[in-house]
Amino acid sequence: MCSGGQKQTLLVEEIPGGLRLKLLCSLEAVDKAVQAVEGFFGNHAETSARFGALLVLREALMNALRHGCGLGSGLSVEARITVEGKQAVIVVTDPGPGFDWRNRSLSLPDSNCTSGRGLCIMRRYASSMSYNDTGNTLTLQVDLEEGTPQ
Amino acid sequence: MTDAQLSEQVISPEGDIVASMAESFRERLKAALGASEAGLIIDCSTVTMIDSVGIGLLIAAHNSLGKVGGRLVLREVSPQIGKLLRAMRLDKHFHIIP
Repeated sequence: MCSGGQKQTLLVEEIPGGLRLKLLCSLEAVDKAVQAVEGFFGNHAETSARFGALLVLREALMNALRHGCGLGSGLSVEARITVEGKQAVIVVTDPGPGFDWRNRSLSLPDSNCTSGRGLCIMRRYASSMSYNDTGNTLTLQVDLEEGTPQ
Repeated sequence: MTDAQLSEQVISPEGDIVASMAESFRERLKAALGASEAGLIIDCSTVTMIDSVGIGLLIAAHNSLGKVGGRLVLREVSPQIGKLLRAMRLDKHFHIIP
């Protein structure tokens, strides 16, 4: 199954247990991707857990687009979302050079700070979060049962 | 000061407060902040999701209001968004009404 807007900002493919997405680096593509996954999660998650999973997905895609791709660059980000037992597994890969994730703080910024919460949000809602060595592939596991954030 | 400047402005976002609508929402917030120093009420009754960009917009509005003694109120916040704001330790920052 493939779908997308006029500019093919998003390609969606069904895979065993989930979806594979390819997003052109645009904010519109992120919205479409989240919408596609929301439909997929519909049967798999309670409302509160679905919120957490979709938020994590949105933050992961936004980070990949902003830092690993560049909005409007014409490059694309790939994501794979599967349900394994009572967990969603989200893997997001961007074409960028990666970053030094080992030295990136996951603590909350000051309350008056208007940015820097993406990683914190993912860490709060995901039961696990890990990067590959380079830092351009992020793997998250999110519980699909009630009780999040972690 | 006019009556309008003394009363709180109410904004109802058109959907979720996320990155894709940030630019237009920022302009609406600026206009509302310019119209009132008393404060801003954001009616969240149709908001099902806020991301980190959306949170940043709300904080910016709160910071601007704080400079003139105004307050930011989030009204009809969903339980999920309320939990998110608490997790981000922003529940004491904004005035949140479920």
